[in-house]
Amino acid sequence: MSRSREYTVFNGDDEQRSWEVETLENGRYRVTKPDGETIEVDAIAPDDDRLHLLVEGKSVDAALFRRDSTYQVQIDEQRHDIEVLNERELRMRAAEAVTAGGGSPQLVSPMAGLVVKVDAEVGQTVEAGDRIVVVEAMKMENDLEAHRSGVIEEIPVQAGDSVEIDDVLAVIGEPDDE
Amino acid sequence: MFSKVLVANRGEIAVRVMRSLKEMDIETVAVFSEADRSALHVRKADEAVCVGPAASSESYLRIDKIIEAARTTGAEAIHPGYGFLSENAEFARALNETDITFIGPSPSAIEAMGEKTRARELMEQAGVPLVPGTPEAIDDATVALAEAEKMGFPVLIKAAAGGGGKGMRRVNSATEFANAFEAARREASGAFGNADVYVEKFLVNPKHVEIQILADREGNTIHLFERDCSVQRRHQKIIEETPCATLSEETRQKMGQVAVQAAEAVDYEGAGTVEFLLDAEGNFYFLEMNTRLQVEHPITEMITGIDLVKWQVGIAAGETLSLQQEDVPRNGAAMECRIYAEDPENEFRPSPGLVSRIEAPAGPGVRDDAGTYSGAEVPLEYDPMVSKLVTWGEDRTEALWRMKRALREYVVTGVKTNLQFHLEVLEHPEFVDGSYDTQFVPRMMEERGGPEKSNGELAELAAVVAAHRRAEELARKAGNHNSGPNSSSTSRWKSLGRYRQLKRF
Repeated sequence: MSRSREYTVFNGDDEQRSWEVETLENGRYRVTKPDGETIEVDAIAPDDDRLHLLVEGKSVDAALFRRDSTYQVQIDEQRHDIEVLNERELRMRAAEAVTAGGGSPQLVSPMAGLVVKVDAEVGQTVEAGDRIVVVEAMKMENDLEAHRSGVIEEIPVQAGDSVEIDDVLAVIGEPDDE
Repeated sequence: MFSKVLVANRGEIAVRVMRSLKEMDIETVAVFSEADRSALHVRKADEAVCVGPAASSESYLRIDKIIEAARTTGAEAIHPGYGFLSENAEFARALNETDITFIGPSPSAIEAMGEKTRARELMEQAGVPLVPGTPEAIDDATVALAEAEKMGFPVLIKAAAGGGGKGMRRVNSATEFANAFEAARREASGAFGNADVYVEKFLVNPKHVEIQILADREGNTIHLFERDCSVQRRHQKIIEETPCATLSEETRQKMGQVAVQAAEAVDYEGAGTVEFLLDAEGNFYFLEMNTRLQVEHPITEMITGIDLVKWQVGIAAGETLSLQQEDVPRNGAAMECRIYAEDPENEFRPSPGLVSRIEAPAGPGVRDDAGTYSGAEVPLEYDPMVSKLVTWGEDRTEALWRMKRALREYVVTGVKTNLQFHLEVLEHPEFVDGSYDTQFVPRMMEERGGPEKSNGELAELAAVVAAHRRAEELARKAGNHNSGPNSSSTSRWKSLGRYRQLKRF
């Protein structure tokens, strides 16, 4: 039932780390760490601002305070400010960064719907305005066109996938990207 | 004994004073500013009176409004706490003209100790050792050198008109003296238009050690041993402990006697503290006397078992001390960490705001004097102290390990705190062996990289799991919202209830 979700963490260094969490039964979660290792975690929230984890038998009594997407985490006396972005927030962040810097590689879906057709493939050179994906929403087909010219680096969707607003449909790199 | 007492203070000290009053079956009156309507001390009092706007000068420092609050509530005495009006002779004098008792020493004792030069004179007459120095300005280098050699090097040449560190020059040996002396005079003349200089002994890395005293109206004066307050930054104490690890028993007794002499010299009444500088050879010199309760008084209470606030109140009500000096109990060791809403990684800037959650440690040997609660604000207008965490142990090692344990138990969310900084200090070799002096924290800050972050990956894990649970919760709510009247919304509520019971939320 529950799908796994990806999270991107910024911990104050310049590093950006990817985590993946899948909900299991009974307050248990399967977590894939940035290094690829998968662990199972049991979590309860015993009180406001508290989260207790059992991580493979290790007891972690954390305190958390969320402000926007940043969690102030206290474990023992140590305190960490950790920014956590979900997939949508990360895309938005990237889009914002590029609006500022000019030209995001990501083509994102402006609507939730069903992918009915993919008109491009990885490696193909496209012009801005070329149709890349067709998404059906509200029983209408919508042509989603390349927002810029370049080479398709990635198409994470295929016909039959359902997509949400801001999901990435394609990544279009610079034409002469190395 | 009084039946109702007003506490002219806020925050933890107001709460702490009221606790003792309640144990004495005395009714409590709080005063508060408009910024403090939701402060803990207002909640804990039997009665509370608003005395004005947020600015202290318009509220907590307004003698007229405080006295009026006492009058209208029928309080028979006022406890001033520390800070605010506690060392204000005018306030004590104003109260003397009413039938309301000031819980503290006489206005003249406050004044005598409040003026530095007068306090020095009085102390010298009473035989209290002062930092050796020339009583008057000297203009002859040869005479000055002779004086300096009498005191022993290093010495400090100080401009008479200087202040705040300006116009001071340290001289390490007789050979440098003559040149430094003339240079200091020229500098003083240029900077202040007055070439007068004094010579004073320079104490190398002294400790700040103080003695707690108690005196009743009949002149019985006792001391309750020392507190080492050398862990400080910009004259702000951070951690205090008793006993002082490097103080010999002989010096302790001498220091105690001298503190009693100092108090007697001004006919002191109530609780007070005599501060000394202690050098590496065990010489100590009078610094100043604080004519009030100190922030760090709990550590003395922990090792003596004596409630200083109760004695303050009792003495003000005319009770005589039932304790002789030789009967003052002394057991084990205690330390105090001042928990501030501040950011040690950002020059210790105050971090006021919402304390989303505060969970104090408990267990053997732990005392927490907090001034806030979960959901309260640390107001911008006042001192950002959140709490004073105090531990007691059979010996210093136990008190220290208890403190480390308690700091790790302490949870404060919302505002930044110096909790982790305290742990860093407690684990520093200079603190562990007790040899630290007043320059310890500045030295430590220079060589320090930053706080340890060994829990980084676990913290990330916790943040990610929290974000995930929040995302799922939001999705669940959205699902509920969208479901029609005949959908499974009831069972969703049921499962939500089950979830809550399981605290899986």
